[in-house]
Amino acid sequence: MKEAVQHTHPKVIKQLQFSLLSSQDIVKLAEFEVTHRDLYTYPERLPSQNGVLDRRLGTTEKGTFCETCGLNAVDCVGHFAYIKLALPVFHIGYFRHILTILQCICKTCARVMVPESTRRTFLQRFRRPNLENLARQGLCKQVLAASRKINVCQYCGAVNGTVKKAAALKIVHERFRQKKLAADAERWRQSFSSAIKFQGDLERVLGSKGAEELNPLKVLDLFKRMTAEDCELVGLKPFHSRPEHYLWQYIAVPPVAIRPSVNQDGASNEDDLTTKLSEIAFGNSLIRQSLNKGINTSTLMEQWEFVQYSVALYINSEAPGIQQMNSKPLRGFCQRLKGKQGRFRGNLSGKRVDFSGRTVISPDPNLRIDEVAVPEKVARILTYPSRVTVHNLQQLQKAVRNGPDVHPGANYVQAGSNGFKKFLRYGNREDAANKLRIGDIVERHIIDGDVVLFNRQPSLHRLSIMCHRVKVRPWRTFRLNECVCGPYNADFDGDEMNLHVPQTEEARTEALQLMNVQYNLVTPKNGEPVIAATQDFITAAYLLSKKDRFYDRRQFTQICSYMVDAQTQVDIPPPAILKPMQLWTGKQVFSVLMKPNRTSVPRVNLEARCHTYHAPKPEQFTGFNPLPDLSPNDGWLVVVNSEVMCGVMDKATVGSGKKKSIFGVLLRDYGPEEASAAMNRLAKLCARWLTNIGMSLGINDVIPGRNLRTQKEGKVETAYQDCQDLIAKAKLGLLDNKAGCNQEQTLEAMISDVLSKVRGDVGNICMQELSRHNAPLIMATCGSKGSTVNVSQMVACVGQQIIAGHRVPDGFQDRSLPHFHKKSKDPPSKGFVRNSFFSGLTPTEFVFHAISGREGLVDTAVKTAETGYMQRRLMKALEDLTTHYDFTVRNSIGGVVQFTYGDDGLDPASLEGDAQPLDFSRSWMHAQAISGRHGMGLSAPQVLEFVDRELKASSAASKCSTVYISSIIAFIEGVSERLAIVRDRHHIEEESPNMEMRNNIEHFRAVENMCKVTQKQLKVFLSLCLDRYARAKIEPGSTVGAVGAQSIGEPGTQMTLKTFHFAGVASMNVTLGVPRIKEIINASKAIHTPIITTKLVASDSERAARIVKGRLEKTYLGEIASVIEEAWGADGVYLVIHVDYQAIQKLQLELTLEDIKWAIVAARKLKIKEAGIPTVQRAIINIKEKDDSRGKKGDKELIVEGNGLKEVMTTLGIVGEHTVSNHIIEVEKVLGIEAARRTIINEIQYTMSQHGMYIDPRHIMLLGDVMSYKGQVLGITRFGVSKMKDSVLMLASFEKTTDHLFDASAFGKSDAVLGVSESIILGNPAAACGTSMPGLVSHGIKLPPRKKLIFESAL
Amino acid sequence: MSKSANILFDDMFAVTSVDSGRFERVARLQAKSTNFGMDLSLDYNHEIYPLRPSDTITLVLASSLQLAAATTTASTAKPGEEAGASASRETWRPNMGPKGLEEDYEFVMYGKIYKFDEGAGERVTAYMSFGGLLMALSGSYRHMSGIVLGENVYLLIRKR
Repeated sequence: MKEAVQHTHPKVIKQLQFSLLSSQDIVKLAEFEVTHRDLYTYPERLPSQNGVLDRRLGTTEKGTFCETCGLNAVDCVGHFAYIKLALPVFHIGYFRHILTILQCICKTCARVMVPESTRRTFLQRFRRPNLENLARQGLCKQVLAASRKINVCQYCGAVNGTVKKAAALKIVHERFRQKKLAADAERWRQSFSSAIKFQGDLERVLGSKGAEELNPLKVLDLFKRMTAEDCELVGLKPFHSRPEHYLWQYIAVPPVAIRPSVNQDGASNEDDLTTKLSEIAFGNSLIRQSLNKGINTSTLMEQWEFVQYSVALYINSEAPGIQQMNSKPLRGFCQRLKGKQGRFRGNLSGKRVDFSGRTVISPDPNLRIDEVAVPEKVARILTYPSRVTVHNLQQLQKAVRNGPDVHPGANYVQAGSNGFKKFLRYGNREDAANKLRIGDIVERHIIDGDVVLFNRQPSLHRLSIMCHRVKVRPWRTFRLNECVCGPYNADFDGDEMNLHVPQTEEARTEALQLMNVQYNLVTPKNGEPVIAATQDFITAAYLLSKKDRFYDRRQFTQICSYMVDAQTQVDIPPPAILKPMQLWTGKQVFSVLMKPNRTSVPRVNLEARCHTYHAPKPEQFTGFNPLPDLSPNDGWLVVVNSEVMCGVMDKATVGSGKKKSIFGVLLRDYGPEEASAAMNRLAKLCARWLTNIGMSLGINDVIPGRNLRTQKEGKVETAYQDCQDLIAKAKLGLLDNKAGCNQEQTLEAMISDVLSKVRGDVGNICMQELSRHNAPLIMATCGSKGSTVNVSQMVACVGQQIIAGHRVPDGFQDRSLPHFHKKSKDPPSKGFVRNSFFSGLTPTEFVFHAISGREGLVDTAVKTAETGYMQRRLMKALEDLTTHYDFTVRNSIGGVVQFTYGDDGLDPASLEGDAQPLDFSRSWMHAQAISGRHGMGLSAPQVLEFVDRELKASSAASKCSTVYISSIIAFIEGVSERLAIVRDRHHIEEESPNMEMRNNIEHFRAVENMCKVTQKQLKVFLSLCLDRYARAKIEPGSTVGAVGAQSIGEPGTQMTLKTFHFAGVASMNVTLGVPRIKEIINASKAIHTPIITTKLVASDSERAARIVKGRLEKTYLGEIASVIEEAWGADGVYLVIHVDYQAIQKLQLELTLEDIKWAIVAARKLKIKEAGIPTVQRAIINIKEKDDSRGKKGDKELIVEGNGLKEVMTTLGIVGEHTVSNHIIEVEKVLGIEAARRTIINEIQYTMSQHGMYIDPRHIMLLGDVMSYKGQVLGITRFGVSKMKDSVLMLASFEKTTDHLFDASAFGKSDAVLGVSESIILGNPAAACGTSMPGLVSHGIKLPPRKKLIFESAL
Repeated sequence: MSKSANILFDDMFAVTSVDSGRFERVARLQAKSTNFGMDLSLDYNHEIYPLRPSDTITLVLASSLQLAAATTTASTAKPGEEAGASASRETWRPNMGPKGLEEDYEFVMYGKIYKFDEGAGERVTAYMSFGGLLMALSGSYRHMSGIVLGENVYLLIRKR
């Protein structure tokens, strides 16, 4: 068996140089010349001599031997042959390059036609070392442009015209195309005059432009004559690639190993390459014969063309213009490399691996979260090469004795001395076990505690592959704790997952340190926990923590024993109720869960809103204003020193996605070990407890009560009546139009409002009317599954069906279904479903529901493909960005993308607050709680002074950013301010040491209770702050690019069907969702809904707003004319236009008759616009809903639909500095690259937030920087990426594989193998990132001074 | 003011309303003190200890159930130790020690004072949690000087 992982790499590929294979090289490489077209001899059916299957090329059949090296099919590497072409042919891959060079050179003397003056500068620029790809391409373009202008070669004086592609493989030079060369053309035609005299047809053929076909022979001749310097001028490196090699004179015939023939009962099936090669050989022999015998030109040309086409198809069978019709698609070389299954993406970037397994997954709450149960069957196959030491000798001997079929066994033993490997199924295992020596390697079965990687596709983020510990168990599925479903996005409806066994200690260690489940409890996307209780765990936790759970001592201890497996000491807390009987509450179980005994460390301090929170009503409390703690549904969680004070455990407090949850807080304050231990306890507790309680859903749960039914019917009926009224009003045009809407749109919007309100109301009634024990209700309230909408759909009313953001459209003439009246707009005919799933849908309702359901399915199907591609592009563009030891973010070639990662060098994964390392108020509470309340209370100035002193003295503080330090101080100032106020109110002197004055004791106690700050608390708080900052610093070598790409790409897959929303006003759509993200990262030139938001100078005046609106919008003549009439008179026909001054006045337009006159004169085709900006579609006056940087709530602002940022900004009445566009390219053009970067960041964040997703701004900033760091906005598309990157292999593995490869060899590019893709392709560790980044720096070895050569002086 | 140094607060309350609609075994009562003008909101298990509006109750908060005030009071306990916990750590276990304060009361709970909130004027509100059953006691700080934030307390109730 092959060695899986080599420990020593003797050689590493440092660079790849691409070049062209010259004819000599081809012949040198080859064993013989192929001359025959036949594949096999007849009748023996042996590969024919000098054919394309000659045995000297190697062999693919078993039992035969290569005639060159004498080895069999497995060991022979294969050998080349060649075909000598009688006439050269174009190489289809270089055809483009040939054309470009021909356009640059003189078609007579083969010199590049750049004027001598610029020639030098071009050469200098081309010779610049480390010339980037983008720059070189630009230079080539300049040379081309410069030489195209020249018609007369300054070296030989010959006339040159345009060179263009005439057919697929035909180049034509039209020498006299330019008008100014008419004289030359005439002279040229004259030279044929005598010939024409004898053969009249000639004139017709000759043409006027002097078109001349540049056949391969001519081109070859020209290219051969090009000087090395000229080669440089067209961008080539003459050492690696001379242009004559763009044409083929010899064809290398590849070994049969890459094009095996498949023998099927007597007949053989040949590879496409083989057939094409034999075709070429045949065509070539025909030409050779013809040349020898002499034949008429047209036949020869036909034969030449045939070979030409065959060669082209051999290389690229999909080349445009030369596909043969009606035949099966061939697989040329290009096709082998291209595409997802091609060589690059299928075999080089992604490879098949050993030591992996795949099977169905199932849940097991009894496993720890970092464990995976592996079936014994699988464990017997997957092995780990364990080296024998004194410590494991006995264990491995036992494994060897057990052999491959008994579980803790072994499959192979490799002797440490000679590397001889022995299979343990056969032979004497007892003997092998006894002979086991220290240093031998035993490939033992994986056992409990082994390190494996566990993965589920699609691997959208780094949490899709994590490191687990093995637990070998019976049966046939992989099992995992349900808490870990989140990051994998796994469920158990038949999902399969993959398992990989790292084969070296280094790999194991890295996996354990970096990919361990415990260290991935939070997502790097925004630092929220992803591994947390799910579904039934949440339900159980909710039910258990409800206020009315009481247990006596037996029950309570039983429950406590569920969670720890008799492995932990549990201290039972004192009962909450002592008399009349001792009772414990369910909440106390959670106190035990967080802190099982006196010695356990975690002291959770947390105050958070639960999933469902009803605020306490102040009117129910007399004498004081209730804090949220007194929420009537117990919806406010307060935990003090791991004791639950109030609140329930639900989605928000034990589930994923909230930083302020039990596990989130445990993780931040006490580390991943404590958090995962608590989670393990919770999983066991909940699973076992709920099994005993029982949780099931039956028909009873969805039967509505009488009250609910009548209320719902009433609501629906009134809503129907309301809609009817609206429709009737709309018919008469009595509805007040909403801003920017017409009557119809207004009606739709109002009906939608009414109907959506019905469902909401009915849902609320549901929540109140249903029993406390209703299972769907419980699940909806605690957030474990489903929402209130789902519950009310089952019980009460399914509600309005939406298709593409509107009510069900008409599928028939003027109606949605033939069951309704034409033009009917009432709710039932437009898709309102008044029934519930329980009561059953009517046929029409059923159809509407099905339509809406289908839309959802189609949308998901389309979206997965789209987001997958988006993710791939993002990844390719950002994969090589890493942080370095100076905290800069650089790409693989060392180009700086950011000077400090995210402007502050903090890791999004370890941030607790809102993009801050710490949530100050919670940490302050925590610090106060853990450090106790003993000691002397400080006064406000003392607090400030103490903090100031501590921060100055601390060395850790000096490492923090000043922004962070000042935010700490600002927070402390807030605390001290409150302290000062409270103390002041109770007349406690600032500096009185004997504060416990007798007469003042009550005041003193009150102040102590209200607000007491001790030195210890401050000290703990400051150390928390500083410690957390130090931890949050991003590690050098972090692959921030890849993580950023995943963080943006992954949420994309979860975006729901919400492609539009209304920007403030109805009818002004803004593209959202995946389409919008796509627009942004593609840097699209034309976006769907360009919108400019402006601030008005006079933001409170409606009139002023209208005036500005008039300036922006275009006005049509029709809008300001009261009458336009045709006038037919005796002396002419004309139009009379009555300008309506009242209308102009009303619209606040600044128009004079003169303006109108000139507009009419200037207009063509009578499409007349009067004023405004032509690119603006319309402008809408909007009233702000909330305060922001552009103004206060209630201010008027103009929202402009359309392009023309510059014009809008400069319009009188608009504050230019506060004008914002969502069009990135336009912003770049008008305001520059920095503004464009900011726009990218803002727009992505905005789009994400519209879908309720929060991504750390650092990721988006990085994307913004990548898109703008080259000085122009580059989209994350094949064009943009190829401008960002230089690596040939990386680009080839992305898109347009063959184009990049042909380009690389045509220009003699090299690839330094620095990036991630290239390294993977070549099997190197990715050099500039992660754990392979640190290098050993040593002082250079001191070499003795160079000896003087003996004859040096003579030189 | 008090019989024993263990008693932190002692007053009579007239129950004004009882809300038992939210939970099955737990109700929340609102009460007004007869002596000190205090306001009370209390969650209690009304299955084992039913109360009606118009009931009058005696409500006592104590730092310990021991009758003699020999042990350290919470406020002077050693720093670092969770005050009160050491003093009464095991007293809830059956048959541990002599009968104490609870003998005279019908409903006894054990919990923690965890929050103080300022109100208008002299009023402050103390929040206590007895294993999730909340009590909010609001009144002038002058009557609540015995109540210390972060301490464990016993709540003793008896009907009049």
